[in-house]
Amino acid sequence: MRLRTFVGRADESIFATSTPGLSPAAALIEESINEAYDHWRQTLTSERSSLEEEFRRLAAEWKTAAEFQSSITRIAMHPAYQRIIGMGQEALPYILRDLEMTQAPWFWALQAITGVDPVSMEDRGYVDRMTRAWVRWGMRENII
Amino acid sequence: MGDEGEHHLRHAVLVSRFPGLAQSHFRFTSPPDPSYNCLAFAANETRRCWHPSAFAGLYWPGGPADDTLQTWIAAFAQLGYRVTDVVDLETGIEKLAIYADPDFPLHVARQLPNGYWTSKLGPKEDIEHELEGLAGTEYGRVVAILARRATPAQTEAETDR
Repeated sequence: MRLRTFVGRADESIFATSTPGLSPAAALIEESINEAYDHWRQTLTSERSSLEEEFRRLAAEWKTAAEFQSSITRIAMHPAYQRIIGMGQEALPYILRDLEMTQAPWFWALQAITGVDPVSMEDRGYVDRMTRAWVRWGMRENII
Repeated sequence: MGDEGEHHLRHAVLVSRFPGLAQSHFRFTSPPDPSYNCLAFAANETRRCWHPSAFAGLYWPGGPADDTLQTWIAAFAQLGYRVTDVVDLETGIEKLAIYADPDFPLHVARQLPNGYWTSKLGPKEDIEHELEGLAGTEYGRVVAILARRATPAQTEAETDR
């Protein structure tokens, strides 16, 4: 909105006024850019916040439903778990933090989203070691 | 909440998920522990989780495989178990019971020397129970009984693995 105002004013004043330092036109541009940046940042923060809320809601739903499940296949096929996988790379920071805190079976989702498995063959099955391997991977990749 | 209150709550939650436990014997025998699962526990291991699926990223004897009833039976065959029709306690014989729904394997329990069975419930507690107690929507029903001659050395080796 402000940019439009500026464009409207530009013809009238941008070259008409000669002031030392920042010209009124440049000041308007700067203000507009700052407003646009703030707006973008707020939108991004809001999107992240709603993404995190969605993750927490789905994770809670899945953990309750799969609380006593022994089959990893059935655990991973739960609709809430599948929706978290569907969130893709955006879900990785939340998954990795939850894994670090709870050691919940996120390994399937992590492999499905990233296409990698940083766990060595000899550490397979040792949940604490697998967790450490994935957290280290997340830090190396600047995800957490 | 005191220990007794917490115990009653755990009991109630478990019975709500496994209604068969309300009509049969069961008792908790361990606290929750995500570091091992029912498959490992059936093989006397309490330090890591077993599962055949490659995506699970867990341990499986012989490496990843399809998650089928035959795969589970084949893994326990490597530990000396063979399919049997006899569910009842037999002296000198160790037994496992695989639950499935209807052919998809969901859980495995191990028979105790007292005739009851012991199970690790996902990442939660171990319990002592009767086979019918865990039958239902969570684990399906028992579809296979496996047996092997009890050899203390073998069991001990599995436990130490």
